[in-house]
Amino acid sequence: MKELLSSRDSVNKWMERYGVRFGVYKNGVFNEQLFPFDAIPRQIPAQEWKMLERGLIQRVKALNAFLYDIYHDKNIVKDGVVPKEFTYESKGYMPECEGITPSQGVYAHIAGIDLVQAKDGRWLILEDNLRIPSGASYPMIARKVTRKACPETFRNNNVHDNRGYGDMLKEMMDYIADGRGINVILTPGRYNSAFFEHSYLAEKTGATLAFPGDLIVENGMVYYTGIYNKKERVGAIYRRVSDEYLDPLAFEPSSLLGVPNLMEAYRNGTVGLINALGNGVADDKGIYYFVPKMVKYYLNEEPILQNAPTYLPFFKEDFEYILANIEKLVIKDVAEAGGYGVMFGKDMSAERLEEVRQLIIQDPRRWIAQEVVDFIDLDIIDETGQPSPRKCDLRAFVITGKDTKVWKSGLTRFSRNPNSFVVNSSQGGGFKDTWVMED
Amino acid sequence: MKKVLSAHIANNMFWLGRYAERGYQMMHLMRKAYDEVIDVHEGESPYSDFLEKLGGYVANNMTTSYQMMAQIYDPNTVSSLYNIIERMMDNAIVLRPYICSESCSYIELCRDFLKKKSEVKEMNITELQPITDWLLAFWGSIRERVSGSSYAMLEVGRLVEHIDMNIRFEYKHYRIDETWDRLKKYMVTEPDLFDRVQAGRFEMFAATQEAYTDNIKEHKTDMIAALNGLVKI
Repeated sequence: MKELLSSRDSVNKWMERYGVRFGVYKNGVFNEQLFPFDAIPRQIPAQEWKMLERGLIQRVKALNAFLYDIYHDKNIVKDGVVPKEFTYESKGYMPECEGITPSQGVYAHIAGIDLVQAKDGRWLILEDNLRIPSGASYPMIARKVTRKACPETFRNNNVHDNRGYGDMLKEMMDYIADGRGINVILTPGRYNSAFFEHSYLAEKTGATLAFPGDLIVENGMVYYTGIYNKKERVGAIYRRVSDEYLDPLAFEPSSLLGVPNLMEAYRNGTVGLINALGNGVADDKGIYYFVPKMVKYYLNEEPILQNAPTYLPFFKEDFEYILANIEKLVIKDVAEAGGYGVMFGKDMSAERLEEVRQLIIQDPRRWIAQEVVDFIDLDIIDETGQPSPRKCDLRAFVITGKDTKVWKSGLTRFSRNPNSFVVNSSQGGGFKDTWVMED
Repeated sequence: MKKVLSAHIANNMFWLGRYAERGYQMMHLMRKAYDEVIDVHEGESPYSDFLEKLGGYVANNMTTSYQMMAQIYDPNTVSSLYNIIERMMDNAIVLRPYICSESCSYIELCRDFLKKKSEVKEMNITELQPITDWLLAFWGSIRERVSGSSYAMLEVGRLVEHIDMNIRFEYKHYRIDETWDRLKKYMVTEPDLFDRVQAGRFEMFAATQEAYTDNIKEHKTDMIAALNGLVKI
């Protein structure tokens, strides 16, 4: 490990050389910045990983079953396990997807599940991301670079190789394409904050990187169009464009990012969309509360991984508890993402607490409250070159094609501010490699 | 290897080839111009001739040192090395899956290096030699990793730019002729890429040494225009 730390300048130079950046818009101006990388990896022992792996697979299987059910039979609502207010009134629910069965029956092909480890060692789920979870490319390239800069570290530590993520994605995309055509990654374009990831994953999976305007629908089938009037049939689209912008004829009419008539092709099953449309109904911060119940309902199993203790003001008992204890809870706006809309009661003035109470009273469905989880700190090397503890989470990537598999790595994000719990890159967070240790 | 190239990817490849060659040529020409500047006094502005040939804005009332500085680092000087490398990056960044991260990395190196040198306003062109080295490495990486139509697009861009710069700086005919012959091979393998009328016009201007010598003074702009209309993307 010492060698790895002493080679961190070399590692950072390689990261710069490979252009490991993400874009941010500040005051309407696009800037690219390096994603701060910390050389001290998060290490997950083999036994702990096995438990995590089982729990993550279980959770994603339940979420996939939930999505099928919501857009077909709706048994979980009929049986009163999940209230209709959290499904059919959710912003992520898309009535256009009713009755559609996506290619191979998979909805959440790439799930990014955010976890934290509490100080007592328990892993708790913070959030499920089933639409466009990003971040896998960073630990992929970090591993490539650190192995290059410091080979002896990897010779002396039994770390699972994480460089097969591109192959895992390709295998899943091929399964979804089902021989109908090529795989493409659809990017909103060069100025998207995650463009590095789109292009890097295209390179590593061999998929064609498609930009707005490159795809057309003809006779109900999707084609990638080229020069000299050439075109190639598309079998699977790993889309990095949000649902509402995917097809201007079906959703947002002003969208220039989408493919006209794509919804029709998707409905007819001539193309696979990764992830499926309408997944937002299952990763809403409000529906998160019900995921352990889904595990029991669909799989008839006890959930292996637990949620962080969560309260829904929608339920009377929780509503009263939240209003009485708001100063010690974290309040989250279910409509926000990327670390925005998160308020810590302990940091708010009495006046602000009262304002938030009123907001909850006015629209209980919009909010959730969680106990503050005192999760473990991991050391980073700070600006002075010294180890310094920071809050970290872990985004695990779960891939579902023919089978559901967990990538033996993940994105460990840390807060750069020692007093903050917010780790999101859009708010200045950095990342670490995640080492899953072999037996 | 990707089978079908979209129009904008083909365009990015062509322009990446052009800017990479322009950057390489610019480094060469600046070294040459810097050498000439050694023998003149401040105020004589031999550098203005160099800038004029590039077709950019010529700040005649500025000192030679100012012009040289602007030619390397100034974002507002269209032909500056800074702008050439930025345009290379703009094109390369969308081509990562086609040219690989390794090829992109050489352009990243050029950009980061120039940025660091701009902070100290490095004026000794010899200190910028790594840029030339990385551009050569970039082309080595391209030859190693890219093939088929993708390679053809990049190489056609490179050859077109090579001729363009040679004409601007009035190089001898044989230099243009050699490159033109190489470019013509792509008219066979990528026939739809070329405008035959413009190819014919260019040949009329530059097919023989006599024609070239006659036309380089009187019709330089037309020759460059024919060359720039050659590729249909």
